[in-house]
Amino acid sequence: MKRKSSIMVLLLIVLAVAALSGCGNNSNSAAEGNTKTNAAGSDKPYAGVVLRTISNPSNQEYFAKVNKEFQEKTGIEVQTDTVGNADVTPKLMNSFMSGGSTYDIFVMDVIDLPRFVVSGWVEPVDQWLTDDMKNEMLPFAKQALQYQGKYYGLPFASEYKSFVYNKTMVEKAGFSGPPKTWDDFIKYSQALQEKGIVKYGSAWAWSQTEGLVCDFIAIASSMGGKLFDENGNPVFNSPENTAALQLMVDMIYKYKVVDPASIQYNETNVLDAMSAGDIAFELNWGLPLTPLNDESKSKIVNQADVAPLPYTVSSATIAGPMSYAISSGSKNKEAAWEYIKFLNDTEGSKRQAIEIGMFPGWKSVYEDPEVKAGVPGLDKILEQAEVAVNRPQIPWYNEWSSKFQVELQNALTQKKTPAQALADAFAETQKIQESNK
Amino acid sequence: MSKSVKKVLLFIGVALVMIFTLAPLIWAFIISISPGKELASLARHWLPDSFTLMNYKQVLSLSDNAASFKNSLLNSLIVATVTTFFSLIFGSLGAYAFARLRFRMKDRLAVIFLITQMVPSIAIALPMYLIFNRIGLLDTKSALVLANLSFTLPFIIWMMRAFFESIPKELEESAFVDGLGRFGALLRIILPISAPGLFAIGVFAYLNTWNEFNTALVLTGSSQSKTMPVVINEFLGRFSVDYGLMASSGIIGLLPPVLLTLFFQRYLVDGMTAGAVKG
Amino acid sequence: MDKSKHSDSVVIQKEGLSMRGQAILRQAARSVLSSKKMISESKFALLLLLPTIVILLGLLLYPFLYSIYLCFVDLNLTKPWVGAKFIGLDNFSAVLKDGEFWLSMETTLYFAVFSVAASMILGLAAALLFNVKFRLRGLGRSLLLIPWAMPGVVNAMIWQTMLHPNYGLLNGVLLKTGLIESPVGWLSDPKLALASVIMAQIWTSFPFVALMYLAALQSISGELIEAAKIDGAGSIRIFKDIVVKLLVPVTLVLLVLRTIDSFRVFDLVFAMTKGGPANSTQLSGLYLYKQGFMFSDFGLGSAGSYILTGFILVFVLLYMRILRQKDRV
Repeated sequence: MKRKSSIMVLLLIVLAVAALSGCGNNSNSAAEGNTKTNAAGSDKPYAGVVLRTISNPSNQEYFAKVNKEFQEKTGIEVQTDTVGNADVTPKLMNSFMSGGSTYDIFVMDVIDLPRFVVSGWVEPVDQWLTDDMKNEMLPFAKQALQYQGKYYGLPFASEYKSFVYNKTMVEKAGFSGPPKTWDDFIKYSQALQEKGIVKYGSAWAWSQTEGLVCDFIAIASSMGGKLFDENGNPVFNSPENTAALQLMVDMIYKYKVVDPASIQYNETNVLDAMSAGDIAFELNWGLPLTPLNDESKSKIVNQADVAPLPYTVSSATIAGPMSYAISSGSKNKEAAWEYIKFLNDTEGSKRQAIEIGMFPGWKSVYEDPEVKAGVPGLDKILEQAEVAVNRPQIPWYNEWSSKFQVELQNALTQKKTPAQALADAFAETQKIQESNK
Repeated sequence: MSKSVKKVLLFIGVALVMIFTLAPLIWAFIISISPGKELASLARHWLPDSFTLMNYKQVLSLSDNAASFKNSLLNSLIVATVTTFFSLIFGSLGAYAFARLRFRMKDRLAVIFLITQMVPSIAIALPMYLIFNRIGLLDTKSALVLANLSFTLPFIIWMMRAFFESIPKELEESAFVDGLGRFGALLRIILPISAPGLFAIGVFAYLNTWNEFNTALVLTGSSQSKTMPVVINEFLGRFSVDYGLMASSGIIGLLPPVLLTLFFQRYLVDGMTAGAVKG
Repeated sequence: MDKSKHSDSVVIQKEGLSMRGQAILRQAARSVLSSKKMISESKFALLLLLPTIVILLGLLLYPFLYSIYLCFVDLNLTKPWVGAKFIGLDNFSAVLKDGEFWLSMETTLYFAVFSVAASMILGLAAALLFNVKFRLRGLGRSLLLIPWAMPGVVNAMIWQTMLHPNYGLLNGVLLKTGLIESPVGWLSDPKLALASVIMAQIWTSFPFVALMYLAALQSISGELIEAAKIDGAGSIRIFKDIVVKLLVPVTLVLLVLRTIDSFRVFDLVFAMTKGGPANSTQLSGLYLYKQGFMFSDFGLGSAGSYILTGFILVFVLLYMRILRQKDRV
């Protein structure tokens, strides 16, 4: 009896260890069965291939439909893993860290590109990209696809933030058009508030998230500020940037025209306030008029309009382009490229623009009469595309942004003066830069 | 204190606890029956001008894609039930060893068990993913059961140990005298007396598994294994949060655990008297 | 005491046993135990613990080894062909030198201390209340568990909307009753944000405490208290000697569990505040998440995780020291 049980224990431990040592190498079997390729030369060279991709739930139905058509056309099956927006990152990281074959294709934000490239997680697409394609792309969309001289995808959503104002309210307050300068903006807001039309003129996405950095860059650019020079070195402790941050702080505490709740708002909260008719101005992504004109969610249907962001030097806004990219661990890169092309070449982008209002990154699509007719408001915000600023392309962008958000919030919560906050951010940035050399 | 004063105090106390417990729930319920554009005015009126069951209908009919809520509810039920079952068995066996038996490294082993739960799940999630990938159990309910067992067992052993230790030793000793072996004593004396404790750790295992999100997110991929919290998270789009859908799915998701605890309540009430041992 | 008295059934009355009787019983039990039929204690213990040990070894050993390995290497993401480079304790020193880490630890400490203390007190109070018999008690006990059964992301959403400065229930009520004159920014004021997050944490965590205390109170049977009364004990002494003594082991376990849990909280702040405003709610869990998943610095993230683990361990050992002074065999 004594011997028997100890043998059992031993056996179990051996089994457990055996199971574990098997996990020791990082090989990945999730992509099994993905490589059943047909004989070359057929019209469906990749028939039977299974591509896996991950996405947030936005526009699920559209992608389900498109994936089905893609399968009929090429025989390639696309399986989409849908998770909450914030959950894409950890799942994607797990895929990268385990060899990068779990997902063949993923959506990459402009700020992720440099980090993914230097980590070796994303595959360049230069071998497939034609010159025609390169010439067709909008400048800021094209810039967002390149890093260190290579291209990494096709433009999927070449978005930027647009300034929106509630035309009806502004007219009610006695003005004929949108505010042009920041002084106008404050004057308009105060008038709107005095007449009791709104409690606050505007609300912004100034919570401790990327949205705050985006809004700051837009406002700073409109006042002639610049965060990084051409070599990627920080220059943001300039008088222009300090003035921009001072303006943001003053609009909350001095002029009281920005809802202090902005400090906890993200873009969704801003949209909620705008559609509830509680504010008259917003800066938001994509086609901001579409949700504002949605009867089921908005109380200000047909009241809002788009205009350039107010400025002191010249109007500007922030770009946030995204692209589909191929994982460098993918075993089916050619098939993955076929899919990206299907989704986002000019034809695919046109369809995307019309059906789900995704911003095309191709010039010809913007000019397409069908698109103009099918996407109301697109032409109106086009002028903002020309002044859209991209964020710096640095591998340590997230690390920098995270520190920068905190310093901006230190100013917005009046823990520090704007000059002090930016000076501290500058020092932090130099440290990060040093540690990443 | 007179009896009626005591009664009033009791009433006030219970009412306060209930208000704190239920106010957020009622708020969630109001959100779930409000049309989207009414949400902004709820603070002023507390109730929407018109109410709708659209959110509930929509949650229950989501089935055209991966995010089938009903499916996830079933997955959660299965995973939580199976995990609870094994947690109770393995956990109470282990706890008995700690509470009553002398063996080497006992105290150290107990602390090691706890240490396994102290490391942030962020550090554990990726290698655990690699394990299940290796043994081909990714995207299965079994993987979730195993992972959740590894999270609940150490805690359960600690909790159950505390309950076992509060049981007088004499009970067992007399059972030995009566010829019951250790196992018999555990089964026929200790466990019946510990019914309230078993109920409590059963609820612990069930609810923690029911809510477990981080690991479920990493280990699941399709509707065959996605649990409810993972699917509810899918209502968070890039720039859209569907408060109505989240609230209604949260409320529907409450029903199974609440009904189960209502049903198993009685074990909490009368552990001592329900067992084979009566004073 | 005659052994034959008990031979027909396992009925005993533990309070009724005299000291002498107990001694005899114990002796008898020992002699039975030492006879060959009984399996030895350590063997039996191993057998009972085997399933748990196998599961923990099978599922957690590798993750532990892997994450410990990550602590000591630079994954060299920029030059994957070089492979991981052993860098000794650099990751640890980098974390320990990072002011943001220490700030997050401080925030976590506040968060843990206040949320654990409040949920323990509230949970004990709720347990004592719901231990008294009254109508619909059973239903009340079930409803008490609701906050715990709510998925974390829904919990965060509920509190976020309840505490919303303009559209939230709390400000709505306070404005209507005239307690405040202008909306309070529960999540936008750095001084209030952490308290608000702690509130949400208390809401989800006190039911567990209440349930455990409730279960523990059940094992303090009426007879035990009656017996003490017969012995002439006053009600204060009964509470001190019996109730408190029996609740101490549960309290220890609850403190340990709640502390471990609250030190590792991540989802709640991630969903409610993302660490803002101005890092006032950035708990260590969120800090570590950022290091790994957002900055791709997995070595730093792992090292930070183990430093956090060390802190939790210190807390837990401290509790044990204080609450388990008496030897419990």
